[in-house]
Amino acid sequence: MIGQKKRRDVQRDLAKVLADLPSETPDAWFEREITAAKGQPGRDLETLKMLKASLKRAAKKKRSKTKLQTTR
Amino acid sequence: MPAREPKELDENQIARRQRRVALLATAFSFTGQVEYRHAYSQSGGAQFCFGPAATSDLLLVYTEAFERDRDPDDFSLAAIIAHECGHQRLLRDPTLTVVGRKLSGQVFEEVLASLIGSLLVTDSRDAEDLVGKATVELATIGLSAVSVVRTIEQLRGILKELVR
Repeated sequence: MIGQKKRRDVQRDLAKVLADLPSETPDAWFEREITAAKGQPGRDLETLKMLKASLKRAAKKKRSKTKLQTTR
Repeated sequence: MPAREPKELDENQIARRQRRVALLATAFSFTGQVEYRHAYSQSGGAQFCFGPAATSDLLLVYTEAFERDRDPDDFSLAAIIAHECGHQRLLRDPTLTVVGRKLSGQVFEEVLASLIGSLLVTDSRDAEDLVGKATVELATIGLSAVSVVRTIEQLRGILKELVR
């Protein structure tokens, strides 16, 4: 079962998990990983790119929510 | 507390939902019975029931799956159904049952079902959502963030070769 947690909450939890990646930002970590994985057997660029994209979407959503709260 | 009841729908609306669910299940190569139940469940919207044979497996989809599909902050109907179809593949596809046996346990089953689901959907955003869900699920076993990402990357890479 997919569970009752909304996608928005899963994205928030994902951002929390990835915040612990050893880099100045998770985005920078993914950039380096994607570059390193290019052309390497056993690496899956698509999955790395997906996680990077999810992270970007979660951050964008957080920014627009903060903006909404401050403009009220 | 009274049980929550879904808004009443006429026969045509229910039949449309049933058709939509059946179409998605067929697109994801589900084998067995597919049913739409106009009721709320505690399942999050859908449930895979393992039968004595693949043809008797049952995919149940409930009202909340359609409500979640309408919510832009929630999983789509396709993602919800693909996750359940992922469970069936994991238990029925001989190449995938090997993976399932090696990585047994409730958490791994959910992780693998989401990753398989991410390979079945056609919408890239649904795929991203399911990969994200698998990652969050795997993190609950206490691995470091790097190990979680590497494991998800490796597992999905392997599943890509096995899911047809």
